[in-house]
Amino acid sequence: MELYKLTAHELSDMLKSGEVSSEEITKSVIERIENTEDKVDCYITKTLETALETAKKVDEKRAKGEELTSLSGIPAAIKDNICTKGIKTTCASKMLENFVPPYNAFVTDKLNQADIPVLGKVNMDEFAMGSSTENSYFKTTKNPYDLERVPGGSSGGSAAVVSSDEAVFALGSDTGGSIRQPASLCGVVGLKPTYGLVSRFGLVAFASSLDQIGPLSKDVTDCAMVLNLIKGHDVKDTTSVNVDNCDYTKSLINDVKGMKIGVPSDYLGEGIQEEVKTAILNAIETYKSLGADVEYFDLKAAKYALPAYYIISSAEASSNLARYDGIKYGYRTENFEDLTDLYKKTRSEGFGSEVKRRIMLGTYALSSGYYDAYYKKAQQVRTIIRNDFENAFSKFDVVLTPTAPNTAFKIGEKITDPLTMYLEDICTVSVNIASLPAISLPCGFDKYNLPIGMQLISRTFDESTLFRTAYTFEQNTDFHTIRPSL
Amino acid sequence: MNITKDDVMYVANLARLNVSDGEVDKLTGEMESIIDFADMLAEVDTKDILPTNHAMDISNVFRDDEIKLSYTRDELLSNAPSKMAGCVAVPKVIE
Repeated sequence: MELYKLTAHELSDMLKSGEVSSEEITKSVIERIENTEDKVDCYITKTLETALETAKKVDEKRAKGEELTSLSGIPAAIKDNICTKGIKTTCASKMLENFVPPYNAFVTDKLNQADIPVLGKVNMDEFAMGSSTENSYFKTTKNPYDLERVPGGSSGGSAAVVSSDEAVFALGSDTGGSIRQPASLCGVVGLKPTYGLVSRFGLVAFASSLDQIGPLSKDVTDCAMVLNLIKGHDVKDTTSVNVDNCDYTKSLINDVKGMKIGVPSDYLGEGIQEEVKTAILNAIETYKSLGADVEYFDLKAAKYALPAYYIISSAEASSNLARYDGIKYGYRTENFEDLTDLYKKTRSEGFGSEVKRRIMLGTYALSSGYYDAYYKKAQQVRTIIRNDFENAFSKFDVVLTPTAPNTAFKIGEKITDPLTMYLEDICTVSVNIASLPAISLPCGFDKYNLPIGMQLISRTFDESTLFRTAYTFEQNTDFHTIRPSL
Repeated sequence: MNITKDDVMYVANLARLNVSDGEVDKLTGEMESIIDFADMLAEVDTKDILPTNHAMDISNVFRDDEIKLSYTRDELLSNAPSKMAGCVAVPKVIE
């Protein structure tokens, strides 16, 4: 079996037993990149030489008996909106095309401290705004299951790179579904942690009350291992929370007997592809056969989550992206008459159309005369959605929904109508609005052999229940073993 | 909600964005359909509901007033589009 195909936990065991070296693993993945990358196009910047050096360093440390983590020496990719010192961090935008951060994100430091060979920075929708990775300034990444289709977004590069075995795992970011939806479309596991569990220091901000960094991996065990590594309180992120030391791999238990699973009927209705519904209904039967109690319920405010999300996230984005003014860093226009002209030209030339659209929307929603009707109203609806989930969790341990309303669509199919694209997030946004954790895992395939994802949502800081529920499904099905034929 | 071209130009100015004559019609149409969609929020009864202003229930976080290592001038200026005398060079701000 080629090393690049294996999961992180399989490779970790082989490293510990001395069966294989980190150098061999990294070389195998690098070879895979060389053979596959021109088809899938995940990487914006590759750092393969440095990755190999890190791998060799890990082998030396292991030979000397020095302490290593369970993920040391296992190569990964990082979404290009996470700062990596000395390595271009572009957010897939012309605005930051040549931006080289002078510092590492908290999570980058965690990967470095654990001696993870970093293979490079992967593609995304510009400034994390999008659901298909078609909004990248550089290129469109392809879905490894069908190169004419999108990998989803905005962490499309992160999902595709894991799905195509061009990295053993990846980091992505999720504001309205940007880890989970591409994970679903590419047939991999993706987790959005509870807001505050993973530091946002060094994550280029989109919507500060919704953004979270999380893992994309080949299976649930790998996901738990990566979350163990990247979580933690950070003094540099005042929204990061001090949670007791938690080892998520201890939650990988194959047992859901007596677990109460709630399914919001609103997420299995109109707008959901028939095959997605079928796969979710089958997953429900699987859980029932494993001893879980599954019940349908009404998540009344569900349909208001999407408009609330677009108002809140656009408003926060308009504020966060005000920093791109061509002054201290980033793109600056060449010809300008005065300061205002510099600002306007820099921003109009530096940003793509989706980013501009959202900045306009956010500015409108916050402007005098509209603030109460839009932003304040959306924040009130946000409270109602949070309360609805709290009520649900007084009855249920886990909420189960489809991750995306459809399987991967063709490149170019939805890009012309923003609203059609926004509907991709219909099942995922409520999770960010309520600051909850959620995981997406493969649960089926459609007639074109395109992956279908199931989303599990739990209470804040209850990732343990998510892992247990997801792991049990994985242990009793084989969807996670299937890989695209590239 | 009816959004006019004037609304779009006003908002664009606030956001320091240029909208060309060619772009304004399309952008007005797009914004109108998105805002129409957002108008759905008016259906929700939010009487006596407090807006969620903080995602997490944590209070102000302070640190001790200690001097800690920061970045060098060179590191901070490394991405500046234009530099002069150890500073970022900018066009005249005050007339």
